[in-house]
Amino acid sequence: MPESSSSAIESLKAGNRVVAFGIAAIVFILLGAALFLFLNLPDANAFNAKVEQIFVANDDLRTGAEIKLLEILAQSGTTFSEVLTSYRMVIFVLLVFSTAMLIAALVFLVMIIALNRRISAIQRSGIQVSSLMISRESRAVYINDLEFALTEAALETLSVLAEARMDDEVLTGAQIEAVISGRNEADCDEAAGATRVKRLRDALGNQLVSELLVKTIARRGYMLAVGKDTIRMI
Amino acid sequence: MTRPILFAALALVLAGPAAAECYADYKAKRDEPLKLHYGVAKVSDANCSPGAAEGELAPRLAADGWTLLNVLSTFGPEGLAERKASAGEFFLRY
Repeated sequence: MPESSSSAIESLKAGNRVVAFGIAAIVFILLGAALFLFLNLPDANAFNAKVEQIFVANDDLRTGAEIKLLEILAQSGTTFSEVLTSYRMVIFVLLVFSTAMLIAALVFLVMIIALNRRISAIQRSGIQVSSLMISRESRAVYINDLEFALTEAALETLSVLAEARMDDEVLTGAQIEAVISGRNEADCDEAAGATRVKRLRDALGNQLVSELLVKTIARRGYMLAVGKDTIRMI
Repeated sequence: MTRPILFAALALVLAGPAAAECYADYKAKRDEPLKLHYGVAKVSDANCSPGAAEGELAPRLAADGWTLLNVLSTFGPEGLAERKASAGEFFLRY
């Protein structure tokens, strides 16, 4: 169980990296495209420059009427340049839209991959404890919102294990006994702690729980096999 | 007796170049909105060539917001009449 949950976290981290890189790549590519488009759109003064060129190149264009005609031509070109500005706006809006769509698509894709991995991890491990809530008041533990009534002693053992889990610690039988009884660890018997763990397992249903919840780590002790963030104490 | 004649001759020689007036016709523009004009302007005798006249006319036109495009030619007073109609309001304005 810890393996699958840690691999899920790793895949999530990898997914986040992919999303960050992907978004950066999308923004970079579209920014490049936008820059290219904007720079390649004709300048508003392109038409005026052409008219000016015609005026300079032809020496006979000098009467008032001819010059007026050239000016009118240039003005119609300037009017068209306003249309170009609106085209620019449209292109910009479309680019922003496509950026948003691409980013959304990427995020959804990565989410689907992460979900698939998680589902396969859940399928492999059978039952996953997604929430473990210890309620001292009602003397019960809620695993995935299923209520299990416990004896005072079993609840105490579970609480000690939960606190140790949150600190990423593995407790030996003697340590468990020491914490619960309040005596020095050296004075405590390994067997006394083991008995407490056994009683807790008995209370919850021995075999399944030993695999799913209270795990024995060989030569080291006992540990709750649930994610740290799933534990809540009320 | 010969002195007044000498003076007169000298005056004639000195006045000679001053009397030969020089004009240039040019094309100029103004931006936003684009305005064009063809005009005729008097230039000093020293600048009586298209290239030199450009240098003299450009600042004069720039003072009124016009950009000189080119100077077509320079000519004497005899060329004024044929260009007057084309230049219109810009005939000898600058």
